[in-house]
Amino acid sequence: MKASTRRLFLQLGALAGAGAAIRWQLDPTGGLLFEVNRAFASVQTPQTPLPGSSIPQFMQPLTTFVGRRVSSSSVLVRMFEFQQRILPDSIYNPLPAPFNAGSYAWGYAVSGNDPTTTAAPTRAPQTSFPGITVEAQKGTPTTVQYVNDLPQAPVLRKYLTIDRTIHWADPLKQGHVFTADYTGPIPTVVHLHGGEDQSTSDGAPEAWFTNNGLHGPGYFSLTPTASNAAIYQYPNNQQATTLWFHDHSLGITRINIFGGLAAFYFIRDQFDTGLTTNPLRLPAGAQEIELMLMDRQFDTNGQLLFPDSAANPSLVDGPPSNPKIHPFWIPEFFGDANVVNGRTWPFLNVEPRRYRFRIVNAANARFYRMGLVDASSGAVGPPIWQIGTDGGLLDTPVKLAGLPEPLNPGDPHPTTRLFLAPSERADIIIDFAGQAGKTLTLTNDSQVPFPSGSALAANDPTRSLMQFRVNLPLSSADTTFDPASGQPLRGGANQEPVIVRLVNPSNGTLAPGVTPNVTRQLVLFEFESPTSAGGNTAGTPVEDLVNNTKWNGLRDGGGFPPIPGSTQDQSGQGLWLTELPRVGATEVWEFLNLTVDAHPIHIHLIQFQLLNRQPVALDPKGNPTYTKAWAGAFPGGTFNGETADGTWGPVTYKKGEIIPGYGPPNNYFTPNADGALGGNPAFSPFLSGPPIPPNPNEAGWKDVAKVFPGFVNRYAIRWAPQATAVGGVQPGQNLYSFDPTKGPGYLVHCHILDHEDNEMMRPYIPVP
Amino acid sequence: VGVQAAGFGASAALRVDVLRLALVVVFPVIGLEQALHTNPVVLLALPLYEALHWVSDALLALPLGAAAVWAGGRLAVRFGLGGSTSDVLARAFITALLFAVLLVPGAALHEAADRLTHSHALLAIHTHTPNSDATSEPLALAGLAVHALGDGLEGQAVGLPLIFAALLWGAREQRNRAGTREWGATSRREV
Repeated sequence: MKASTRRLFLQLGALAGAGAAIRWQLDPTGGLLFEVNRAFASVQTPQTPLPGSSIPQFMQPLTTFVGRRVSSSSVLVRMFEFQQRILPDSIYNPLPAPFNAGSYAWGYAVSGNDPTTTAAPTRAPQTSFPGITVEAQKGTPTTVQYVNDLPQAPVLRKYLTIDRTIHWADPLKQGHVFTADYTGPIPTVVHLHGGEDQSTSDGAPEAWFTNNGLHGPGYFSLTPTASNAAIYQYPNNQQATTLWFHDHSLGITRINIFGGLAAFYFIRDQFDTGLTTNPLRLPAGAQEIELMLMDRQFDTNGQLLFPDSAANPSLVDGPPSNPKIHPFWIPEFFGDANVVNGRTWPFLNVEPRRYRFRIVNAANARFYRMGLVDASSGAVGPPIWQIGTDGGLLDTPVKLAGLPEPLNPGDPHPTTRLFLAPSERADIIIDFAGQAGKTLTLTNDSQVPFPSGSALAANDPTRSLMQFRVNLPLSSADTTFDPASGQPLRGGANQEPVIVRLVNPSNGTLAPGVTPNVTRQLVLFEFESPTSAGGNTAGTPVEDLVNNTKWNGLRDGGGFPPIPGSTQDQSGQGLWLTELPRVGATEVWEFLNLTVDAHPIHIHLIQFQLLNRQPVALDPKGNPTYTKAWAGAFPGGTFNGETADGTWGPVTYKKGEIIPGYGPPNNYFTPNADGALGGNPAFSPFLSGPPIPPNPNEAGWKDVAKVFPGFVNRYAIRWAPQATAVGGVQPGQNLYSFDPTKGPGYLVHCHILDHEDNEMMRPYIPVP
Repeated sequence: VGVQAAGFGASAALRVDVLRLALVVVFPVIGLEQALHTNPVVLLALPLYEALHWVSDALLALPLGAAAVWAGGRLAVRFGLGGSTSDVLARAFITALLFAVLLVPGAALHEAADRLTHSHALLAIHTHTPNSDATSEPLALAGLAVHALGDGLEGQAVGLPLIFAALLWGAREQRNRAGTREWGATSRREV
C-alpha cells in the first residue's frame, strides 16, 4: 500500500472515529455532554427530564389502604387536582415552592356518601393517587356518585398536552386542532374495569362530563345529579375478585390515568370476606395489600413528564413521531421510573409469614414480568403463588418460581414469572416464612414494547419495582391458607364452586357441551407512517385498529360511509357497531395480531376464558404471511390516509393494498371459509402449529388477555353471569340482573392506553 | 490514479485530493439530508444538539464520500474524462451518483448508530418494520433500498453542484500549476 493511501485511510479512520465519539457524547445514557440533549422544552411548560436512574430507590414506605378502604354501598368519588410526594423527599425538599409540596396529580377522593346530596366541592382529605379502594359485597349493589371537581385550569393541563387531532371527547367542539393550547375543561368518565354492569353505568367513552357541566352524547346518570357529576350503579353479582376503576374518556384516557385517576375496587363474598376470619383462610387485614403498578417520567422539578414535544429527540420515548398528523401523541408511553401505589420504588416491611397482594398493572403501555430476588445475594427469592385472575379465584394456586427468563421470549408459552400486561390483575400470595432478615426485590425483565423491544439493560432502573423487607417480628402463628399445600381454592366446603369451564385449559379446546353460536375472526392492525415527509417518521404508528376499523365505524373519506351492514348506536353517539352478539350466546373471538407487539385486548361487561393461541406462518422477516393475503382482498379506492407530504388527506390505494381504517376487506357479516364473521379471509390456511393452551395462571376468568403477535388468540365468551352452568343459557336469554342491550354500549379495545385513545377501540352491544 | 500529464490540457486526467473533496461534499449533503428529515421545531429548539448530530453523521459518512470520490476518479480515467467542462460535469455526475448509491447501506448504518446511541429513542422504541402490504418480501426490501436511494439522490441536490464546482476549481488550479511546473508525485492521495 502506498504511503499516501495508508495516510488517507488513517485520516478517514480518525475522522470517522471522531464522528463516533461525538455520537457517543450525544447518547443520553452514556455520553458526557448530558446537558446538550437534556436542555429541551416540552410544548407548553419547560421541563428537563429527571433521569430515572438518578432517583434513589427504596426510600419510601409503600402506601397501603389497610384499614382505610371504603365499604359503603353508597360511595362518593370526587376528582381533584392536588400535590403528592410521589418521589423521595430528597427530590422535593430542595425545590422551591410550589414544587416542594410534591408532584401535581389528579386523584379520586373516595368516601362513603349519600348520593342525593350535592355539597359544595371541597378538597377531600382522602384524595390520593391511587384513590382509596372501594370494597363491595357480592349481591349488594354499590351506587357511586362521580364528581368532576378538577379545576377549570388545572396545572397538569400545562404538562399533559391534549392532542386534539385524535378522535377525542372535544367538549368545546373545536374539531381537529394542531396546537397545544387547549383551555377548556377536562372531560372525565369512570369505568369499573371488569365490572358486570349495565352500559349506562359502564363509563362509556362518550359518556364524559366536565367540571362545568358539559356532557358527551353517551352521558347518563342513574338519577338526576349535579351537572358535573354522574351516578352509576354496580350490581356486584359477579364473583369475588380484584377490579379497578379508572378514567375512560374518549381520546384522553391515557392522560387522565397518567394524571392519577385510578383506584381499586374489590368485590367480596361470604368466602372471601377480607376479614381474618375468612373461610378461605386467605391472608387478610394487614396482610392483604393492593399493589398498583405503573411507570412514570418526571422532570427536575419533580413533576410528571409526558412526552409531547417535538423538541424531545431522545430519552425514553422520543417526540411524537408523526407531527403532521398527531403532533402530541406518542404510540406508547414508557417511563423510566416505576411507581407502586403512588410512590417510586417503595419498600414494605413484612413479617416472615404469608401475605396476599392484589395487583394491577396500571401502566399506559409497559408490560411487567416479575419475580423476587434476594437483594443481597441476587439469588432467586421465594415463589409467587397466583391464586386469582381478573375475574376471580383460580381453582388451585399456580406456582410462579420467578426464574430468570431467556431474552426476548416473545411467545405465549408458560413463563415462570408473574407476567402482567396493562390492566391485567393478579391475586397472589407470597410466603415470607424462612426469609427473616432478608430484603427481597420485586424485579421486572419485560422488554419495552413487548416483545419487539430490546431487553432491558442491566442497569435499567425499571428492572426493579419495590422491596419487601422481612424485618418485622412474627406477631402470631401463621395459620392462613398455604398455597404450597396443594389444596384447592374452589369447590370445597365454604368455597366458591369450581370455575364453570367454557374451555378445557389443559388442551386448549372448548369444554364439553360448549358450542359457539358465532365465531368472529378479527385482525389487529397498525397503520404505520409510509413516509418521513414533513417531519413524520416512516414506520412509526399513526394509529392502531381493531379489525382495521375506526372507533366510530366510519370509513375515513369517500363519503365517510359506515362499515356495510353495521348498526348505529342507540344513544346518538354516531357510532356504527359490527359486533352484535346475542345476550346469552357463546362466541369464540379470534384475534390475529398482524402488528409486531402484543396487545392486551379487553372486553367490557363479561369475563371470558382464554381458549388458546395458535401460531400463523411467518415470512423470513417475521411478518405473518396472512398479511399479504389480507392485503390482496382490499378493493382499492380513494380514502383519507397519509399523503405524500405527510399530512392527512385523500390517498388513492391500488387494488390489493391495505386501506387503513377501511374496515375488513370483505363483508363483515358474510361468513368466510372458516365460517367466521369479521370480513376477513379465513385464518385456518395460515395456521402453522398446534394451539397452545392458556398458561396455568391464565386458566381462570379474564377480562383482558395478551394477544400475541404472529398468533391467532382465541377467547371463549359468553354473555351471561359467570356461574351459569354450561347449557344453562340460550341465545336471546338474559340472565343478568339488568338489560345489557340498552344504553350506549360496551367496548372491545386494546388496554395500551395510547392505543385505545387513538382508534384501537370498538363499541359493541349485545342484542336481544 | 490519474494519468500523469506533462502539460495539463482539456484531455488530460484531472487529479483531485480525495479527502478534501470528500469533506467538501459530505458535510453539505448530510446537512441537507438532516434538514429535510428533521422536524424544523427540533432544529430550532436544539441547535447545538442538531449541529453536533450533523457533524457526527458527516464524519461517519466521510469514508463513503471518500469512496465515491475515489471510485469516481477511477471511472473518469476508465472513460477517458479529462479537464474539460463537459468532462468535469460527467465526472461530477458519476461521483454524485456513486455517493448516493453508497448512502443506501449508509442509511442502515446510520439507523444502527442511532439505535446504539439512543439518538432517536423513538426509532428504537416506536419504529416498526413497515408492513409488507401487497408487496412480496424481496420487493419490500427493494422498496426500502429505493427509498434510501431516493434520499441519497435528494442529497445530491447540493452534492452535485459542489462536486462540479470543486472539480472545476481543481481543473483550473491544475491547469495553472501545469503552466508553472511539471506534475510530479504528490504527497496526497489523488485520483
